[in-house]
Amino acid sequence: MDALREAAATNAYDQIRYPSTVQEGLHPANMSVFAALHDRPFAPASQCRVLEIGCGEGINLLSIAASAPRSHCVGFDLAETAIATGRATAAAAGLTNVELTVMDILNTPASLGEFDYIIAHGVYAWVPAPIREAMMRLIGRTLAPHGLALISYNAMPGCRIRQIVRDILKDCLVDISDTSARLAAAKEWLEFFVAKWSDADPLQKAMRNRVQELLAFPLEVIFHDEMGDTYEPQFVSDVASHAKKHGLQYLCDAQPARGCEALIPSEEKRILQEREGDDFVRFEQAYDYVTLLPYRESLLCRDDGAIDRSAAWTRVGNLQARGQFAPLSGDESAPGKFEFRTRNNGRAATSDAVIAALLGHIGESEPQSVPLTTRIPDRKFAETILRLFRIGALSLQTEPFPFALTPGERPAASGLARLQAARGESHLASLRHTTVEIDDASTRHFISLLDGTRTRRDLALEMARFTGAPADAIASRLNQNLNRLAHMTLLSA
Amino acid sequence: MNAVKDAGSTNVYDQVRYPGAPQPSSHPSALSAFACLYGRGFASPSLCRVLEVGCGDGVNLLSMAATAPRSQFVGFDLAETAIAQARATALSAGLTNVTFSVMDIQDATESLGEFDYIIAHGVYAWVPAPVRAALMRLIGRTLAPSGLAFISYNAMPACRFRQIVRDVLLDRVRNITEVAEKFAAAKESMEFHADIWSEDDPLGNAVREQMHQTLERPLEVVFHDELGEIFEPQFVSHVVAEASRHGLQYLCDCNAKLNSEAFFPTEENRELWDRAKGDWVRFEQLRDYVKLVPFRQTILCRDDAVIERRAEWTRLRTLHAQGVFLQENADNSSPDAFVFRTADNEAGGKVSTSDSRLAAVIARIGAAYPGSLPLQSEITDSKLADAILRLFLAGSLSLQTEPFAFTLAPGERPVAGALGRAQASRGENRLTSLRHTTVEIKDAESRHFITLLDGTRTRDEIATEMARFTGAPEKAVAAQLDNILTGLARSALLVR
Repeated sequence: MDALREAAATNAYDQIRYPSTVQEGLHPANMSVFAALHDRPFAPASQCRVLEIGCGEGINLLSIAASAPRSHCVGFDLAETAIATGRATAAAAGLTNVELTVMDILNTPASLGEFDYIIAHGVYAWVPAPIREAMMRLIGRTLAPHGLALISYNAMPGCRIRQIVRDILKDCLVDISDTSARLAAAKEWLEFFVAKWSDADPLQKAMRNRVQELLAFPLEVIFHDEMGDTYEPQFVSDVASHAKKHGLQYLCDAQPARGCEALIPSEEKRILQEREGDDFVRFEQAYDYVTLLPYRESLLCRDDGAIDRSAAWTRVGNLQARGQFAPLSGDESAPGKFEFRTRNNGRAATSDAVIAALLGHIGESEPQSVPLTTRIPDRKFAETILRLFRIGALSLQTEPFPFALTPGERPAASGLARLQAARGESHLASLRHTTVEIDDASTRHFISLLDGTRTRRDLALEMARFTGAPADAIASRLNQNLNRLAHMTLLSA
Repeated sequence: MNAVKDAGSTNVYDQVRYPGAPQPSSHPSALSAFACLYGRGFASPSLCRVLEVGCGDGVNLLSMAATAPRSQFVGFDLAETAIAQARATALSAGLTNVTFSVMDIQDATESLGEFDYIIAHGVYAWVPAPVRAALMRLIGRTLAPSGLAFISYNAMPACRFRQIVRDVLLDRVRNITEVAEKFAAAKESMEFHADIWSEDDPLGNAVREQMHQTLERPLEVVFHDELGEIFEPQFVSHVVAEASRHGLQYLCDCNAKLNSEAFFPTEENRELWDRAKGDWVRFEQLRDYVKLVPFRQTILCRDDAVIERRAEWTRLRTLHAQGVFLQENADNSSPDAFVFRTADNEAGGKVSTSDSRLAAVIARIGAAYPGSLPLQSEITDSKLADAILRLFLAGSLSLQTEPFAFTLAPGERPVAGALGRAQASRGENRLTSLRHTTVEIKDAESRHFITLLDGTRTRDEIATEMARFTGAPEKAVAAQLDNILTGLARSALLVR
């Protein structure tokens, strides 16, 4: 949920490899969904300029570059080793549309240019105020007229509880300087306190719960958040007013669960509306007080006029939807209902046959997205789609992603995924900007071979050599395996 | 609870009066009990010099002055109206052993003299860092060699939860300047949010609990704490580190329960103690992380010797014990032969023992209430001493180095404490007792009654005046007179 990267001010990120990953949603095709829902113009994801501030090793940016070959991606970070790794990855993956630089946010050249999408993930709340200021100024200076900027941060007041964890670790680790010793001691102390805190006391129970959640994350996350030099969670209303000073305005939150208030108001919206009036930022802030939301991804755009937050359902027709919708058989499903199994073993049901037909179609089209242009006849349809989006059962995007579903005679995997597989990494970047997990070494080896130079026959022979299995057996499963990878959107057209 | 006076430009304490009240734990007689238990010297509370920094309307200091006529009391505050009120109260109560001045902590100097007791209640966490530094410097310069300083503050890290409440309320009143409007908006916001957080969400439930506690406080207190300009809760370890820069060291907290481990180490805390590596302050800081203690009342003393944190039974003999103990019939819930009901609900409201000697002492403490029992001849061995000390550390009784002076048997011309009388004549319903507590007197008749108790009137004259005041038959009033006087005496409001 709130894994974060980067901090421009220190080089703590040179000491330890932060778990750099592709962040679903942090892609122009997903960010622009919210521009579309609010009837704002945006640059096409397939042909745009993207800037990532504090990009770390650049995996998120490289994945964008791989899935939008005609777009140009620029990323910078202060950590030299991270940028060196990112550059090596880009070169090895054959990505020529991405530029990574070591740069201080306080010292960015005017020649940087203008960007349609700016992403600053895990930076804003982890740097001191002057750097926050420089960052917002940079966005104000370089965001294109129809540009969108995404700033993620830990949110106040919900994160005050994380500050307590920080208080404790800062104090208990004061004498330890070695990084790995600090991590080990942090874990040991936190486990000690978890055992001491009592569920009978509300404050202790809250701490216990929070730290237990934290201990479930990779330790590196604690290293950068709870143990970093700077940790200044922000109020959404302060972020919005900061943006305002630089000619920007708050659009909405980019998390599907938070970004649909305009069209399908949450329960909190109904309760808070009359208290907060029509000021949307005020509402968002009041929402955070009530829900103690720990994390935000704020979308900003140019402050060029009021944002149309009217519930115009027709805008949903400009989007594309994708998701898993496997119809449940009659016995599993309630009478008069059409029920589907959705991603992560969820369920969705409708009694409307036409909506059911649409969901069935989306499910059959998976992993491809379905343009909704002619498929949203009324408000009810639009709301259903957004509700499914809000709970994470389907994804929305403004453009299809470029992957191949029917691998050819000389199949090619995405250069980035191929490189990751060759390095033995188990988390590969797909061509629709998600992470795909490939646990076994032989599949990774197989992917590393898919560079478009080998015929299917060559592939079967090489895999036979690699695994020791008979070439015929491998050849007979080759098509099935390729289709599986295609379905994971790892193969390029 | 936590009056602030800061160096700030605005004088919010002139706008909204902080409701002052005697703070029992800050009385020299209570502070010195800890000095005694830890084997340190202290000045006699009945003959000492006391400074209160940020004394507000002076009620705490005036109440102490009333209990110790031979001691000298000095108080200052930045809020002019509060000091004016303090002076007026001193004058009307005839208290000549207390002086007040309007002063900034940062301007206070050694010319104030030397003090045996320095009190800063509700100041330290509500002023900016330079004022905190000035306060500690002042204590370092003016505390007598065997002096004790009392500093109360909201404690970190627990108060980060309270800061969430503050975030919500400050946001609600952000555009409001008018005081009454601020009050109304804050109240509305508290009521709205108190039940909006889910009890099922651990964080939501914790904040909910904080908001409910805030709702229970007087709005004037919320105005200064939750809506005040500065709220910087402190870590006990930071407070002690700052103190050590000024030649001071940590003695203990005034909350008896936080002292328990010093005298009777428990298995439960052994691991914490090991991790603290023998450093007592470190132990207290680690325990704050575990227990999330929200409020501290730190006693500091001169950094002149190592403090012995162990039970030394003879020390108990110089103290006086006070507490509510009503003997009950032993019941099935306790295997012990002697069961007493106490005023402390936290401890289940009961204590029990199978030791008849201890039971006899407890019974005598109960019989002395609201007065105190000198332990000199009661404590004859370490077993008895430890048992009494454990009752103190559990919060079932309080200890003091000197008894308070008030009467339980009012005479023919009854006299109420001058401070309580002055408060009653002003129509206040919270009066200060002669044992440094607050007594609530809600009805106007009782207050009028108290104003008559200046020692010039006989009981008959009082009955006549009250009959005139209430319109009730004189006979009926006279018949109740002794009851009423006894009631006031038991509230420690009467001198004789």
